[in-house]
Amino acid sequence: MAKLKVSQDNRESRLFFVEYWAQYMKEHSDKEWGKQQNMLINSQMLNAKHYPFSAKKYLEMKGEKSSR
Amino acid sequence: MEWIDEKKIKLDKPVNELDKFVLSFIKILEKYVDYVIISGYVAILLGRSRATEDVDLFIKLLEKEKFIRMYHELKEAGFWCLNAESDDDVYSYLKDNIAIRFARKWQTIPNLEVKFPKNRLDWDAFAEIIEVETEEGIIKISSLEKQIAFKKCYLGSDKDLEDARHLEEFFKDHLDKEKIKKYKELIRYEYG
Repeated sequence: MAKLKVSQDNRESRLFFVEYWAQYMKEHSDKEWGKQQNMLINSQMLNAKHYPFSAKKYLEMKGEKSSR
Repeated sequence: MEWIDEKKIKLDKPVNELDKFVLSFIKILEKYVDYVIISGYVAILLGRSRATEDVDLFIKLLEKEKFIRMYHELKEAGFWCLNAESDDDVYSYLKDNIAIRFARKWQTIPNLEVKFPKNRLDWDAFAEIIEVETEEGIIKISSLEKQIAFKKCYLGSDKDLEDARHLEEFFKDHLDKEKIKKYKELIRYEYG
């Protein structure tokens, strides 16, 4: 597999990682890349339970309407 | 990941907690109305290495009475609407083209942002649905070409450009470049 390209520019560097990950997915099974992706997503889902803002506050921050 | 045909992808990854959250919601939704998932979760479902706080989806127009039945079933299943509580308020938001958000009761994130289609481009999302078959059910998403065009031409944040790059790279051999061009033109026409 090709090495991850590096850049001084953060935006470019992130795009390099996106390309690297897409390549990784092509070369590995769904089960393999899925396991890694799930670690990231499942940990966020766990943290979400402790999200400190109410629905009202969250919608306010988003500039959205609420009648709660 | 395997294309079964032009409109169906079989995904063999282990289902994560976000996928389960989406599946539990759409299992109720689809009893009442057609839906299609758009934007960030499309890229995430198809492997992008990031999380999200919201999942965007369109539902077709729905009469009030049917909507209320669906809303009640969602509440019984442990969801709540972040924007409002009463049947009338929740439906009137949707009717006024304001997106409403649903989360697990008393939680705020992740949430599902539900809206009615507003214009031709929104309605188009229903025309080219892709069914993604997961281990625990089917999730309907909008065409990849459309997602790429929207993310590059309309949304345009770093996160959106990265999502578009992910889809472009991973589905390089499958994407219809002419279709992406056509969608870009339609987006410029619709949104300027």
